[in-house]
Amino acid sequence: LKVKIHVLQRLVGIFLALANFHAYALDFQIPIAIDISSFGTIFSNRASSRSKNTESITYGGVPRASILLTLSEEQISMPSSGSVIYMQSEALPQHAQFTFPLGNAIATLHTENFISVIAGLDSASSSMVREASRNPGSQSTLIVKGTELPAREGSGIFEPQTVLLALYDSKSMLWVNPMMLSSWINDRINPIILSVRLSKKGANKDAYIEFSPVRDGRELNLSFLQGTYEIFVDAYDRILPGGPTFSAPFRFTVLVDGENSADNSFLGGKSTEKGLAFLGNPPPSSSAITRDGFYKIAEISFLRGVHNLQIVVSDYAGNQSVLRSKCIVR
Amino acid sequence: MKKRTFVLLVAIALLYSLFSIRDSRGYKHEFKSTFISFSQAIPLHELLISSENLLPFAGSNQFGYIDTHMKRMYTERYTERVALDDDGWLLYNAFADNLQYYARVGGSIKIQAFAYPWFKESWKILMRADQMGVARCDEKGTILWEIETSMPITAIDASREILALGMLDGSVKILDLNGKQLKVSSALKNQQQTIYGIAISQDSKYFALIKGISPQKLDIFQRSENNYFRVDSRQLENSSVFQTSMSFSKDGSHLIAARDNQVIYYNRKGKFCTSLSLSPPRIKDAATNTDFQYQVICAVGNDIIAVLRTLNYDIKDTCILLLRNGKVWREAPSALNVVSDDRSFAMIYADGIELMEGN
Repeated sequence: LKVKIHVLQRLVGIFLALANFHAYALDFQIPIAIDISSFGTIFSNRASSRSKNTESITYGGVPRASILLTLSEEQISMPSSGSVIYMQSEALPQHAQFTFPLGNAIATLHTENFISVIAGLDSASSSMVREASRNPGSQSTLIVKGTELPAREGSGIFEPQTVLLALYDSKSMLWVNPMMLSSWINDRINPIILSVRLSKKGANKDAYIEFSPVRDGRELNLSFLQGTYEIFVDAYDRILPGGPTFSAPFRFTVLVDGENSADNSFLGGKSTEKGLAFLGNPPPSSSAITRDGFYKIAEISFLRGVHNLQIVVSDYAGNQSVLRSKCIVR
Repeated sequence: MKKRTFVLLVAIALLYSLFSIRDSRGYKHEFKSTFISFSQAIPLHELLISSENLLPFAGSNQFGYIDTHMKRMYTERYTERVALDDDGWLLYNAFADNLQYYARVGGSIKIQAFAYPWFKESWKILMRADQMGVARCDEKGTILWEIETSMPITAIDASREILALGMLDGSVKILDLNGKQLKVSSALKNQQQTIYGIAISQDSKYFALIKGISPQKLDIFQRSENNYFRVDSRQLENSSVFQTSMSFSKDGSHLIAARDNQVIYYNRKGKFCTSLSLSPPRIKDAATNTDFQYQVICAVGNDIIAVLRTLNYDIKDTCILLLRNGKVWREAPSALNVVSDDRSFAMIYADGIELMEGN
């Protein structure tokens, strides 16, 4: 019964999240891609990556507030109509002059004060905006949904036919997860939990309990001292069936003795004075992730006794993986 | 009466001759020009650690240091990208995941970062690959501090002591060498207006930014202790959504901003702003579709600002314009880049550099 209630809670949560987006009435369509690196995945210029690959990256390896799309075509369709508010062009010559890492990028203001950012475009995109903006009397540069922006060559940090797409809600000061608007995704594969780490709050960061799922699905037995523990999860998801990309999962839930103790997702990233806040963690975004790619998903207080701990990791389609363990708290 | 008129006429004639002489004095009279070909360059590894009077530069496929005293050039070839200053150079790739820093005193370090380097004055900045943060490195390539911004950085500039960042949502961060944020007057708060360009004067007394789109404004801020207050705001004649490169002249008297095919001049003392009508480049083939772009490179001398003009985004068709107080003082066709220090400057060509030193 508890499992059924939990599933129901989860479905209601996802429904409310989707309803929240639709309430904005933003007509925003994610272009069809052959590969996606989802919101919250450690920032990379390549779609085919996963957290473990970033072990050597100490600066800049943070959860992304955007998605990365590998396009099947040499251009990207503008997801929604709006007014271009910012056009970034690569400096020339690129090797001798500083050029901004997002390369040729365009920021567009949409209805309800949403702002989209598309980066990794060809220089021809600049020319398109330039032509439109040079029209006599033009105060703004309108761009309509479906306009094809060239992305054949790649620019900035991006490989050819790879673009970054981000969506910002100015009203809520939230970078919203564009994956929630990708109606064409048909994900049937469960996310994979690689490892879970319990680290006692305030204790040495290098002293932690780490455990992984066992193959036959048996429950794990853990024993540790009572106190408040930070829970970290190393998990990934494949968004597209058969696709090479390892992405961040969407949702992390922690149940202690069947009770929902923490429920955090990559629904968005809160924009604050100190940076970005993910998964209920304080800003900056680096606080949501360890250097070896574990997401910090919760802080749970364990009292003495025997407790059942469940870590549930879900993807956008509701597929989930569960790691169960019996905790003997001394 | 006649005598008074005569004196007046003589005075006018004297004044005219003085000014006309100043105007007609070419750069060759003010600056001593020396061309050093890349074929004469000495390998970079032969540069002595104790060398002084060095001017770092980056060309199309070579970078290095110009010994302005000995009129020598030490270079190394490179294929990807480079950022360099007096302390050393950082080679990196377009994907931002392979950064190798070489200290001029010897030794190298792989910087574990996913970022592009930006070097200016004493600042060695790493801009995060998502443009949502910067880190400051020391002369050994070690990260000293980092900050994360909540929006993509759209503008950056620095003086010796101050780093200025502008963001997509109109927010601005002014940071000191320790990463401590200085206050900016409330004029910028609660405004969702993109910052297109930012510039800070060499003495850190002023900073300027271009923001908003309709209307688009150039705002000037003046420092008072640890705060910056807006002292002037000018509406621009032509709005543009393009990112803007900007620089104050070294004497702080004026600034030049450039984006797309526009060049903007602002006189800080006179508090006026105007679009400059620079002569379009000569077109070899009139039938060819032409589209030229301007990009501010750096301030040179006291009152000169170097601007790169490209034609149809072709790096083979470049020209450096040296604007003195907003007027074209010299054109350098085929020049790719300009570097300067307090005493001299150099224009970088495909085949060598032209070193210019004040007489």
